[in-house]
Amino acid sequence: MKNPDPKTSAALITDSKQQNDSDLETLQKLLVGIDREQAQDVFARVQQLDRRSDDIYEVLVDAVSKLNPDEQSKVMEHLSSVAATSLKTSIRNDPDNVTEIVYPIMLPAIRQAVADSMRSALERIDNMFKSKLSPQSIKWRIEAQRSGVSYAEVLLRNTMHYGVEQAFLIDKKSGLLMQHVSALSGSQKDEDAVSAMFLAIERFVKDSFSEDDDALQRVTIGERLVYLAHGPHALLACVVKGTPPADFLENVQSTLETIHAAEPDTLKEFSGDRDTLASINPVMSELLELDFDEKEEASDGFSDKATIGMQLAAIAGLLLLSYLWFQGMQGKRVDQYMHELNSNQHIQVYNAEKRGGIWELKGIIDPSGATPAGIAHSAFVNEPKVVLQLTPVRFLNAGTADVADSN
Amino acid sequence: MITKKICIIGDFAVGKTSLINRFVDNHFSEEYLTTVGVKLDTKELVTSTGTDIKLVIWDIAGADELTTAKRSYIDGASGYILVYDISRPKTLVSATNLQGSVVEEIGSVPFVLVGNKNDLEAKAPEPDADLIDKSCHQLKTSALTGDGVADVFQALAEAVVAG
Ligand SMILES: Nc1nc2c(ncn2[C@@H]2O[C@H](COP(=O)(O)OP(=O)(O)O)[C@@H](O)[C@H]2O)c(=O)[nH]1
Ligand SMILES: [Mg+2]
Repeated sequence: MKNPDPKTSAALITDSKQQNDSDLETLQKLLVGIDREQAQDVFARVQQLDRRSDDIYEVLVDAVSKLNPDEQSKVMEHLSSVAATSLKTSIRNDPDNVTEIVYPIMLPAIRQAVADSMRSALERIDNMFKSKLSPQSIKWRIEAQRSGVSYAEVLLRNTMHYGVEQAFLIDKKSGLLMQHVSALSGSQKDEDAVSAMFLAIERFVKDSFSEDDDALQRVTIGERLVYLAHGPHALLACVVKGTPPADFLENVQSTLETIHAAEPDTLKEFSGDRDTLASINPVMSELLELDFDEKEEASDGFSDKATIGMQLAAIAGLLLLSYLWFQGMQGKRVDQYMHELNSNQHIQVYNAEKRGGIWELKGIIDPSGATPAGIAHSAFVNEPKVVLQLTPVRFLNAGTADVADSN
Repeated sequence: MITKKICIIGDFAVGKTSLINRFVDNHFSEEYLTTVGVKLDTKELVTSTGTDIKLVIWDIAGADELTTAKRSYIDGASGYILVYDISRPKTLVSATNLQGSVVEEIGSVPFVLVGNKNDLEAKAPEPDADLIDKSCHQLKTSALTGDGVADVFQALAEAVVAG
């Protein structure tokens, strides 16, 4: 509040009419403490919406910045329901907008979650297989040790692996084999008969269960899967080992489309002469290159087994050698110990025998002589356990001196 | 080397599967026959004209009539062996009917007419001249003794290669 000016107080006593107005104004100022301009400004502030919001903005910012933690949580409580509702409305009105906002936050989070769950899955698999000791698991274990990755990872890599072992291009009408590629070395079943069998099975399924032209897309044969892509004149059957990705059949299908585009007439009127379709062989061979080298696995299978065998034999040999060496060393030391004991004129050891990993030395002692414990320590610093049974010769009842070196 | 599909057709138990087993290079389990209704075997031959040919032989589970499923199995065949059992006249009637069905389905392709079980007493009459005319060859065989079996496949191979 402003203090009234002493000069204006003095002017109050004049009585001209004009003076009256200004007097009134002065009186107002004195009584209310603010001048009219200010009052008008206040009115304007209250009445004009934009000015009011300006004020509120300033006040709000100031107020929020001054909130203490207690007050803050109270404010949040009140705001949160409003915020939630408005968020819902916003999402409903424009989901894309929210996706855009959330995407950069969610993606790393999802990645993290996937990585976490993969890791825990790996751990679980690791634990699951830790107890299992098959030749395969030993091989993978060695592989894991050698490459410094976890066993579970090696396991997963090996089991998630997939590969196309063979691909058959089959005449849709006759079942005749139009072209064949194989990653396997060595003799296989008659591929012409296999080709016909694939068509027979395909026909059988179609006749029995469905009129759809591509009714049969996948057949499980033992540990192998056969994927069938369907074209106008030919089927493309891929024999797969392992677990191919979800889009695998699409790949096969597009290969078949490429083949159809390349040789439409020869496919349509296949004569039974495979040479007429030699040009498509490279396209089919590409299928074999999908993430796999069975050739290597097939030919290395034996040598790998041999390697494991040799490694195991080497380990066993090493263990045997060190055991024998240890035994020899121990024997030597026992001999030395006995020798040392016997060089003492008060002691005579007549027997040394190993029982359950413990050397038992038996002999006689003249109790007035040297303490066997002292001698024992000098010779058996690193021996696990030696029991020395010395019978005192002066007395009739036998006494036992235990020299247990607990090293 | 060319490959050709051939079928062996005839009434139940005339000896189709026995004939193939007498002849082929590769045996596949007979389980296929009962499960899928077809058994597949192959045989490589050289024709008198010197053509290397590999026959893919479809043995279709027998019945006196082709069902729709079986019809789809004869699709794309370059020839077929039509078998009846000389000890059972009824099977010759079936053979004649079957031949008609095959023509309806895939048109006219060469076939060898085979009277099997030649080791048994013949009770069936000689086939109609009409049927013999349609065939590219007519033979009597015994899957039991092996008599005439190879000739059947050779004759069909020649006919198939000749077109
Ligand atoms: N005696 C004799 N029996 C035969 C001959 N061929 C087949 N069989 C027998 O006839 C039965 C039916 O034969 P199979 O080949 O299964 O006939 P499919 O149904 O036509 O395949 C079997 O018991 C065979 O042993 C043959 O040439 N002579
Ligand atoms: Mg049969």
